[in-house]
Amino acid sequence: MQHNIEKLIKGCLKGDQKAQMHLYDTYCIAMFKIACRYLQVEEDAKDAMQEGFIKAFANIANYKNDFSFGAWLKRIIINQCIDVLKKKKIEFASIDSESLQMIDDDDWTVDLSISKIQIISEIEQLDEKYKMVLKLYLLEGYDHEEISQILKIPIKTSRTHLRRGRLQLKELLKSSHYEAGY
Amino acid sequence: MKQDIKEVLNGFEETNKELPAAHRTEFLEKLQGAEKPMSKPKIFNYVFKIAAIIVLFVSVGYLALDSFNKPDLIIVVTPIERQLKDIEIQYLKHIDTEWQNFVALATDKNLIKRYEQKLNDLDVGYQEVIVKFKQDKNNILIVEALVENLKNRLQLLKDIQDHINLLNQKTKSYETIIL
Repeated sequence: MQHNIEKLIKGCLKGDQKAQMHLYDTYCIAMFKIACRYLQVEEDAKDAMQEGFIKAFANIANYKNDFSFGAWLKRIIINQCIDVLKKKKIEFASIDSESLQMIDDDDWTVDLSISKIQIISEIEQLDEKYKMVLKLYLLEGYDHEEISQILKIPIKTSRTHLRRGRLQLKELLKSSHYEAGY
Repeated sequence: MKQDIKEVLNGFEETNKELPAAHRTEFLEKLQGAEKPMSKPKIFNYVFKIAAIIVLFVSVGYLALDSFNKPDLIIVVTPIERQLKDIEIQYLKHIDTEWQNFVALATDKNLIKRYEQKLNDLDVGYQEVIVKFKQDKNNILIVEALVENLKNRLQLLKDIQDHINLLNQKTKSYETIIL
């Protein structure tokens, strides 16, 4: 598989369209699903995914073997989605940055009866800026350094947003799903 | 019982999302559309870049010439700069008249030379401080130093003229005593 991908990447470097389509076929569904996390309208998500692929092919010479091709592509797709969101004038950096950092308990536990789907749908209800950080952290598994690069916000802001987002999310889950004795 | 959101969402994948059927052909079109203009824009890009460079040079040249011809317009940016410029002009005018008076009055060429040198030294010092002023326009010490420099030049000329006058008067008449 990996060997095959490398071969396809080499093909893309030469501008071989068959290789490009082959890579597209391999990754498009996974990338489309990722794009759907950020762009609610599936049509927008599809466009962003395809634009991302075109950008990736145009910059394929910059791809280095440090990451897997999928991770590299994912980053491009996410950036593309963020560009689309930015065009809609969504601000990711908040002005009210905290000077005093509270002691972070980093408690992500919720009641067992809450389903995955519920969590995802409640994340969608969060403020846009928290939502982005939470998604990048929880769903994509990026760390604060990577999040700060993707959203072009300071690491500190990323931390603050994650903490506030987590607290908001837990609040939402609590109210939508009454937890006894909490 | 509790569960950790981080673990729940780890490796989460949407199941209900599906690409529209025509996405592949659509992408192929986009891909071909993206590739074709690739070769043309290169030439276009060059033309564009060259045009941009020419525009840049012309505008920089124009600005440079403009500032050369009308330094006041460019320099006058902040009120403090404008004020300092006014002070400088006033002083230099006075210094110039005093200098003319001094040259007319003085007979000793060496003396004139020495004072010319002194004024030049002061001017060199002034230019050095002006550079500092341009970096830090709100420093009152620098502004004071500049004005002090101009004042010194003027005072220097006045003093020497007083001195010459004194000497002249002394040689002319012994009856008048000037303190």
